[in-house]
Amino acid sequence: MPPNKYSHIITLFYLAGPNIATPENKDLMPTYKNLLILTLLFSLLVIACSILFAPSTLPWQALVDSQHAWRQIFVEIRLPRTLGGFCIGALLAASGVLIQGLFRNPLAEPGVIGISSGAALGAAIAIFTQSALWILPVAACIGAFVAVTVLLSIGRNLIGHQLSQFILVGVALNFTATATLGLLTYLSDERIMRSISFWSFGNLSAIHFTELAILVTGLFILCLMIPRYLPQLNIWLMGEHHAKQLGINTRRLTIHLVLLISVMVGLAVAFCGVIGFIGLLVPHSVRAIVGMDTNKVLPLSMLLGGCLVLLADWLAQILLAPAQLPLSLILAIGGGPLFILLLNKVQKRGWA
Amino acid sequence: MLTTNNISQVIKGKTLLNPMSLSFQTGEIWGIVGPNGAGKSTLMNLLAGMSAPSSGEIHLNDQIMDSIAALDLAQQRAYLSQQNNDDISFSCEEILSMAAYPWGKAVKEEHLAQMLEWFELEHLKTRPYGQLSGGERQRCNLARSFLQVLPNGFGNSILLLDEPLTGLDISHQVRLFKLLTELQEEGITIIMVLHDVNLALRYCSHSILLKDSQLIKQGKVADVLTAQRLSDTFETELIYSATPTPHFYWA
Repeated sequence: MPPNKYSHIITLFYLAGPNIATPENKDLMPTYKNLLILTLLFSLLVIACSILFAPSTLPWQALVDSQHAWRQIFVEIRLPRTLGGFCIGALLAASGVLIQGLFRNPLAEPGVIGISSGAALGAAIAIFTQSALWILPVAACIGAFVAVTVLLSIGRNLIGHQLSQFILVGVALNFTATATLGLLTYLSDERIMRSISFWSFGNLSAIHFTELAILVTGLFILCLMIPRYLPQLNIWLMGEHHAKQLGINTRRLTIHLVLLISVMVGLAVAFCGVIGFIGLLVPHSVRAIVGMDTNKVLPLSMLLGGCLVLLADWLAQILLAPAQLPLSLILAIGGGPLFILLLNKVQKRGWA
Repeated sequence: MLTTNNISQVIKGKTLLNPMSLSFQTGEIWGIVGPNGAGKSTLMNLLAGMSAPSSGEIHLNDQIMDSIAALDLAQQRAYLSQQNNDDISFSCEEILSMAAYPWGKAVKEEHLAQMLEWFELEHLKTRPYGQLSGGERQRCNLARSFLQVLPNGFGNSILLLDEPLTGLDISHQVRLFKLLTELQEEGITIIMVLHDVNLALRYCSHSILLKDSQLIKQGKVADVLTAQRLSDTFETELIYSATPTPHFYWA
């Protein structure tokens, strides 16, 4: 059935209530291509709004007039913060898709199973030892890598069979990493402590031009690399045995995915700390609309992940202005209850 | 043509399969029969090239199995195991399209349509796999196994099916075996694990009887699955009665 003239409205309806989608009314849903274009336009709108209105209205003249009084705010604060925030949201949502695929577990998420905390710990160690700025993302990536590897080696025999146990291993890992992070703050002087504690909550205010450049470059390279793994990831989701049977080198696929995930989570966490739930909420909502095909889930998740971070950042800035709330706080207030709903749904129906 | 030369499988000191030499020729339908835990699935794994044997070697068309590239192997044989992840929401059509992976291009429309017709999946193709019944899932899995080797031509292909009848109702069981018999004429080689001795006697040309990781007997189905041997192997008194169809017994 071709998309009807109301399809865009229906799309928005689905985006607002992702759990409503059922196979029975699938015919009503717009095609994937339309959905992608729509989401792209929506993302551009959100980016524009974030630059212009979050948290206060920026005169549009500042965009074109280099002598304008607001010019500096636009170039040095709004632009990097908005674009950087969008990149981070995209990275987190995409890492959620890959992690859920790798562990074949719909509840896996970098924040929940300790990968983000691992990255934050890595970043914190870099700050603690007062290393150069470029070390920060590298240390975060290494932290994330160690976390995924530990999880994978312990959860290896549990994957796909004992969902609850696997999640428990991740939660335990999360506690350990977070506690070590806390320990580190006690050991440091006040200046370092402030910058470390900032990591555990998530905040976009540290993104300036250098950070933005690193993020955009990283995201660009990842976007070039990831698509070739998606067909394999789809088959991997069908079971390791089937993937092997179809001629996929499962060992190599696993290693490559672990590396990709580490870089993604490391980059996202390095400059703005741990932001939870994006990697869980966004892929699930997208899956409810387009199904399980990773080729479709990933691009849509990245766009919507970016939008969600910008929205949360806007709320974080205006709710208790002039104070800035941590991003994780905003997302966890909404994300916690949603996670419980998902848990319930996953127990009953599996993926999406 | 698939031959094994004294292959065995020992994992962590536990013998899963004692050395056995087998030879599967083009156009034969083999039924592997044996009690639970006899080593049937272990043998299937080895024959499919999923794991390397602890000793001995397997030759596929005069090539040593280990030396065949994974993708080339996937073009020549399809293996339907019992280890399937049921917790997925891919549509039936999406699952079938994955069968084209070893070929590096999209699945042909006519091939897809053929499989949907053979396994009566047309009306299910957009349904999520997780919402299908056991039998419907199995038909979907069978269809993807056939689709995997279809571009190769069935004459050059080997299908390894571990309990292909799981969940299928009687009409689909008969339909599947009729299909296998038709494809046998095209020269397909089929090796399957069967629990239904009657069906093995009726449709297989050859059989392997396993017990306690040992090869009891291999060869023509009528020679292998004799009343006495089956009773001994399964340690169960089996009652045989001839039906109007020759070689067709109800155990």
